[in-house]
Amino acid sequence: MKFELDGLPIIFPYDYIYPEQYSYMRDLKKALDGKGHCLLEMPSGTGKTVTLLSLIVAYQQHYGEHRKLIYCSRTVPEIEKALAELQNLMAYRKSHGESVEKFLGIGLTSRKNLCVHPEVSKVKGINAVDINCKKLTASFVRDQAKHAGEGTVELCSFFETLENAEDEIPSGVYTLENLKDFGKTNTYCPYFLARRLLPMANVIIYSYHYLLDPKVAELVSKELSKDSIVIFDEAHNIDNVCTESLSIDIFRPTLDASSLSDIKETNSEKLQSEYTRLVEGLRDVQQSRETDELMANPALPDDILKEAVPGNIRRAEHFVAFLRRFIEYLKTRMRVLHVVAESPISFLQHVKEVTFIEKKPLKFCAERLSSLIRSLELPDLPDLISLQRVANFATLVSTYQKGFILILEPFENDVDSIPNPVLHLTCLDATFAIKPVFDKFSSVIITSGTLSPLELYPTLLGFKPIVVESYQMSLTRNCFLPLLMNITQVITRGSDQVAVSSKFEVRNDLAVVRNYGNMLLEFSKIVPDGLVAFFPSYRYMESIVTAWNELGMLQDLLKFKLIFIETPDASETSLALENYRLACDNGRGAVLLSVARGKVSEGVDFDHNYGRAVILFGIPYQYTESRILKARLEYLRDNFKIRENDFLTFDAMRHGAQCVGRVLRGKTDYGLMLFADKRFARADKRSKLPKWINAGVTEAAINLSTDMAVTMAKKFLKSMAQPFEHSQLGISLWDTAMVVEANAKDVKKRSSIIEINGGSVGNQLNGMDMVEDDEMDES
Amino acid sequence: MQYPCLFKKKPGFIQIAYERFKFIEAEQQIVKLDIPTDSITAQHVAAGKPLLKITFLANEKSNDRTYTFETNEERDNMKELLKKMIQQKDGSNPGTPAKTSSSISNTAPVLLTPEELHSRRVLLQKDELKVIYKDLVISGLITEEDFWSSRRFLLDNQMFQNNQKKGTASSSLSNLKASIDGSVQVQKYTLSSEDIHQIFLEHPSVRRAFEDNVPHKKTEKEFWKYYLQSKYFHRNRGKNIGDGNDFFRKYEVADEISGEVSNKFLDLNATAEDHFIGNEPDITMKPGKILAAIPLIKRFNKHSEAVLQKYKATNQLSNEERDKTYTKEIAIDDLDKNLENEKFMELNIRDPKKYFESQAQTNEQNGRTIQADYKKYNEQFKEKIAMWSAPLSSVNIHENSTVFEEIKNLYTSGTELLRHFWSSINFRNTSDKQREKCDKVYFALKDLETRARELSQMEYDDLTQVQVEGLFKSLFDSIKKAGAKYKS
Repeated sequence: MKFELDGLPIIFPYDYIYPEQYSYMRDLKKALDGKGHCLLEMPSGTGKTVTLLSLIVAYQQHYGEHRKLIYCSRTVPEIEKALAELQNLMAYRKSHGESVEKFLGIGLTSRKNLCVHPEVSKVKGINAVDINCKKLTASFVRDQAKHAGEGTVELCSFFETLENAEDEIPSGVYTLENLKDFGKTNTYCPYFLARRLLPMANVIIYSYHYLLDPKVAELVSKELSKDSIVIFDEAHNIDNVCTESLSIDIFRPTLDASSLSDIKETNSEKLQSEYTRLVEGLRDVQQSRETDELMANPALPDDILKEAVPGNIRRAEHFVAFLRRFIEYLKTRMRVLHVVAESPISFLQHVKEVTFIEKKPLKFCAERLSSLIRSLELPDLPDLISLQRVANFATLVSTYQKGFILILEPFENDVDSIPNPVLHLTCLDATFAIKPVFDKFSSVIITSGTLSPLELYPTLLGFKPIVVESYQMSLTRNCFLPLLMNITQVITRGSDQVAVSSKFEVRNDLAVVRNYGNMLLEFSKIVPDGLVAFFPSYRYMESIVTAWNELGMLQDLLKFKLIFIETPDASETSLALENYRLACDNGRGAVLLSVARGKVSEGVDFDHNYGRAVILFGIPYQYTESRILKARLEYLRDNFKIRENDFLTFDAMRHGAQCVGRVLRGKTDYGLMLFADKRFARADKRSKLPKWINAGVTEAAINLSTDMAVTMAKKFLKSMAQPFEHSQLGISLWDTAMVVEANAKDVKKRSSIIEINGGSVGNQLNGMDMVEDDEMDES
Repeated sequence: MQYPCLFKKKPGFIQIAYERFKFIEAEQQIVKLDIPTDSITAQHVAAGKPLLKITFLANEKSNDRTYTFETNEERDNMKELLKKMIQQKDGSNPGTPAKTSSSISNTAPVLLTPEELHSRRVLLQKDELKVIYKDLVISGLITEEDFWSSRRFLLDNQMFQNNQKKGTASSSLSNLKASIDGSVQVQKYTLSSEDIHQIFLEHPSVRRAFEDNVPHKKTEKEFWKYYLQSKYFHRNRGKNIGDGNDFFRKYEVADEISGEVSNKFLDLNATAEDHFIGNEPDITMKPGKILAAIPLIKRFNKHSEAVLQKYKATNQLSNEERDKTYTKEIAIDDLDKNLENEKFMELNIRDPKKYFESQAQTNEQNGRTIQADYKKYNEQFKEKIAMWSAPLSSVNIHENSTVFEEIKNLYTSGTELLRHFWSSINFRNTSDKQREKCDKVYFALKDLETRARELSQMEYDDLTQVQVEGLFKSLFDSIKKAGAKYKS
């Protein structure tokens, strides 16, 4: 359909539109016009991505500025999905006579996912593709090849062809797979092709980290123009990504591997010239080529000192000795057998007292190491990752004093007797990592199916949105049925959690195990095709699966449905998922057991027959005995006035809502949402569920026993399985005429309000001042 | 479809279309034979020569024709085609849906296949049907055929179910039990070929070992002894004897990875290396920490995969297929107008011209049912049905009370009779037989009404008379309407 929104012609690749999609576009446009940030919550399964893309592509094409779109998502499957949506949209626009020439949409992911080199792409192991790629593409390798002549040094033909290529890549939208196909047929390296296309592309889709993690962002996203529109989709977890990108762990094996023995001062000539350059204060030791990049500074660009490397680590041998001393120091620290939590200040103080290492050279550690590795031409140093980790740790701990904490945990588990020490350096404040993004880009859009409470995010992330909205789901029939069950709670938090952490065995709580097992059995009898169950944690799922097996419940379950379970291995889980879908498609039906914050809960949809019911066993609280979480909660309380309990509950409810929201895609789809924990019935918990789910909770559906829930579910499933006869049109579905009418009404309403109030429309935030408002309406 | 052949040494071709078998002489384009396909009763082939003799009924007499084909192969093709048709007629082929008769047939009693009889018997064991059957058929109100004609779908469904082949059971694939002969020390297992097949399916490494060793290196018996002593057998039973493990060890390696996902939307592995993770997850979120659970989880995944093995597409998706899956997965169906059309199967007609000609004929006979009319009626119906409100009342009745049963039975019988009434009265040129039936049904209805009225006049503990009458109201209304029509 094609319609005008406030004078902006929009092409939406479907015949109808949901009212909430229209409102979403309207508010998003407001934010773009006002060049401000916004926060939008839209129910799962109502086509958020396509709405976003339709509006923004229309915006790009209509206005002269052609603002670039940077779309960030969490997982690679989600990136691929968004690219496919964009592809669809552009095909639709083309069929409606719009010019799609010169439009380029591209996705970026790691080398491992994009490599098409017949051998390199097959290597297995962490970072193996990266290392092998560098062996073939590093500039010194290519120099060697040039001098040594044809055939003596192996290079990557895909990269070489790309280097010599002159013709441009045809415009269009490339999914990651398309890009690989293109690379294969034209012998282009897809990874570097994508990297080079970033500045040209109209739409870029990649993961959060390419924008938030300074180690990567500096290399990949530095050149992107300031008026770009940035979207963080599925952003309910964005604060964690922010803190994670500035956090780091040091393990015992990390230190053992960082032996530095490989770095021999043999290449004295090269080292000498490096030294001279460092003395002269040249930061760019070498003109670094994209293929030589190791990893940028782990600290944020603004926090990096703009001065020459300090004298005492300029010489390679001095720096190596310096680093050795620091590693030895860390080793001694990690021998301590009790938990230590300290601030970076006290840590640095201690470092200085014991080793005489100053703060300043530590800050340069990461950068100095990169320079050394480059000078020595060692792209494939096996211990490089460990060394880099230590250097990054040094740089981070010496750069940031506030908002960070160091925690040493000598034992993985409090009941263990064999030490397995970890030194966590944790960032507690999500505003640090995202601040450069908010500062640099004029429009940042944070959106997800579950962002409740909306007031929390501006505080957590430290920004001022000009539009904050949450949308209800307009429904012709209630296509989802949330049932809150009164099953006795599983103890997952509070003082009892000590038990969970150490000797926790679900066997201690057989009643709950049986209850849950029976509930799963009962529902697997009545739910057609697919049924997904989420557990609060891997540990809980693994123990309950063991217990169910001993009780023979899984064998019973096999009589009704096949069983698939999330495994620690991602490839295995993916296969299990594919088989699960096969079982749903051919009518045999299957149960998928998975974890609420696990791999499956992010980015995999269970729409239609792939998920007629979702069971949420327990409330997916974070593990509150985690010291990192405790420190973060304390920090949030002291600095942002966020109550610990509120934060935890909201977080748990959001994740719960994320899980159950996966059952819906479109309004003819339907699914049961089963909340199997007594605590869900409490008003304080329930009210923290997203509005659109809460709207579906009826009084009759609270505090149900399994029998009652089964009866209600049966009725629901039977009625839903009937053909959908009532026309949705006008209620939960609009055609073009209705959109036009709604738009006219909006425009009229606004102009009348402006007359009366002098313009305070769109003031959805109480704390917003009028100046911003006025600007918004004028633009 | 046309099949060239000779008849009485003259070239021509056989044409089979729209349930008619025709032989057309090529030279003059004369239709020499035109019979309905279901009149063909038998066919015979001659060994060695490409001859085919068909026997068919025409004018209640058996006739036959012999055709000569060019090759044996062509003859066999024709034979197969006819075979299917003959089988279909006999109803012995469950794969093809049986013809449904839309009107009530008052023709000579149809010969039933044993299968259909069986299905009817099975269906009559259901209480609901049993009662109506007793009320209406056994009491002679309507004929057996009439009764079933309106339940054709139930029969078809039942027949389909009778013939549906069972897939692999979802529960444990190889479920062997030992038979113990007296002493506890000796356990005896009997393996059927099906058991063996399932073991191979579940444990590919056992299959590899079998192929490698039997019968050159080991006898079959020796092999299975090893198997029964190995973990493959015992891990499903919680204990591990372990003698056979060494034997199987070298065949295990390749079992681990069973392929890559073809749908990239499900490739969770891709995210793993896309970025660096800061702090490691807390102890409860680290998978694989409960050691006993991992082999268990793997086993269930593998088991479920093995059950599905048959349906698995083996090859990876081509690029086009992949793009198609992508499009399908992201689409939101209800936002598209064309959805409704997709629900229907496309009609596959070999020769559309012929088809429409034949349709035109039947249309003339039955009056006009052209698309536009259909649409008009459909609209009208929709309009009316929107305004229609059912004169139903709700009363709380105990499900076990006898009144409830009786009311329910009367109601179902009533509806059934009404259906037969309307289907017999509405024919334009009603035959005597139908008129007779109509009379019969109408009086039965009247009878039923009286019974219902009596029922509503009685005294009950938990119900008032008004309530009972309310329950029957819609039935009474319907009977009244039927009465009005009958009298006119």
